[in-house]
Amino acid sequence: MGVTYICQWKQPEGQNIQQSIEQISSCVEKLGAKKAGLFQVECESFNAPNAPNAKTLHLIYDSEFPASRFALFEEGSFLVTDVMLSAFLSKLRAVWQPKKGGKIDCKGQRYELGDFLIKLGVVSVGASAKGISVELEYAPCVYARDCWGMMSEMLQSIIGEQAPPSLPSNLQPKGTERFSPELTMQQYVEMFNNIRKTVVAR
Amino acid sequence: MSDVMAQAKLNMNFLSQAITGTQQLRSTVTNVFNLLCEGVKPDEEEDGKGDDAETAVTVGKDGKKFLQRFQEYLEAVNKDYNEVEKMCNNMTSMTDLPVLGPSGALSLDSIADKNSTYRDAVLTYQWNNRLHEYAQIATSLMLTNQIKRSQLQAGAGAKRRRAAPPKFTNLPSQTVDNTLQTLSRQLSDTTMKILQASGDTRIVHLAVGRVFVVIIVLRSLTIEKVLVKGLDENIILENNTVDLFSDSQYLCMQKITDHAMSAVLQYSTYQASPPEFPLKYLLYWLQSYKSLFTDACTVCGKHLDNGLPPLWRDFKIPVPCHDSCRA
Ligand SMILES: [Zn+2]
Repeated sequence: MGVTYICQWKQPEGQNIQQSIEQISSCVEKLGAKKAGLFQVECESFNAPNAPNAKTLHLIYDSEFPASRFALFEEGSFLVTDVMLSAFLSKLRAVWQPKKGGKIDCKGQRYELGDFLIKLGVVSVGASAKGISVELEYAPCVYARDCWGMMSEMLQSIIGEQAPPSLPSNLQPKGTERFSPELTMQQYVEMFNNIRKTVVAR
Repeated sequence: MSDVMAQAKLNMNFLSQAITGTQQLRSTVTNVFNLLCEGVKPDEEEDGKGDDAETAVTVGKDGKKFLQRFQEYLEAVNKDYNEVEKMCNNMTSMTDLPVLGPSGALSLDSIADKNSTYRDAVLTYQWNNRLHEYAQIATSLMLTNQIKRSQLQAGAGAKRRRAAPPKFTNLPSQTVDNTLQTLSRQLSDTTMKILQASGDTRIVHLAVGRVFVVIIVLRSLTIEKVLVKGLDENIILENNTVDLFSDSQYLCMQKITDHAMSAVLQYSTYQASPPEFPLKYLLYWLQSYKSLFTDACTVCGKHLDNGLPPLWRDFKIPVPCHDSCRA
């Protein structure tokens, strides 16, 4: 698991989701990237109405880790478990209840270029598409600060001006820690929350 | 071999004769059937009139002439048949030409007639045979006029050609360990430890910065194998031995492994006196990769080239450079 950066593509005025996806994927293919299957990330959110201080719990499935499930609490705790987690949560129905409209997912095309993995996904709630996600992973390196120069160069050529100007703070936790799947899942939850908010605002 | 070819050639001649004979036989047989088709009575009149002028009147309308011709034709058939049979007996078993092996079957393929593969194969074979013969003659001539450059016997000369055995295999174990320790102290940002040692062979684990790990197999101080792997890749197998054979899953590490092997070859040719020099050069060269992910290419100034960082380091001045930017 290498360093991963995830962001939401901000669609220009007058461009629909399909057009944006086509634009980015043609850009990615021009760089020489090869299609490498599909990917899917699902996130279901739970809360505990009976426990006043409980934070929201996000349960994440990522096709990149088919045998694992990730549980992420809003305040930061993180768990990696096997596939039985969702069955277990449904047994705890009395405490953890699925949030209304809490299911959100992201599906799309994977690309490979050298050791880079590029994923373009459509984020949707229920059946309606809400936005576009762009994910870039550089697998051989496990320190975000070291390979940021390379990643930033790659992001520039994929999403142009929307690439972050410097290393985002959420890629670089405490000190020089190694990158972990937790940071990937946090970015997903963050993006999903942002997309939900903008949907509500509209 | 060549008389087998001659035999085959002879067979071919017989075969063509046999084919002509068979055609002859077929035409005489056709004559017989034609005669029979024409029948006796109705045509006999006309034929009879026509032939009367030439032959005598002896032939009447009773079909005597017909019988006579029938007999003539049958005799011709008999003669041709005997001819063909004779040819067949002349031919020795042609089907299994030992020299051509399975390629002999090519001659049976009718499509092959168009592209002449079989003919070419046979020609090639002939040329090859000739070459072989000339070579044999040449060898025998040269053996009688040998020029000796050294006093060594032929057998000893052949042995000498083999790569010289590594010079320093007999270094005492203590010396090797000490050398490795000294070398490891000279490296910066790079840690070196011995994973396994048995006899003269040591497996050395080298961690270069925060970039990759290298497994080096040493026989005494001679480098036998270098394998570069990512930091998060497994190097210890389930049975607790070191994985020396599976390539890295990362493209860049695979390419650096290739470069490292050529570096080993390059440094091994240095005829420097101290035995640890090739290893020392290799370690310094590998150490230069500690900036693999951070440094841009010194030629084009970019980080990426086709999705890969600057993977190349020159063997003399190890500065980062893309594979494609190498001068
Ligand atoms: Zn370059």
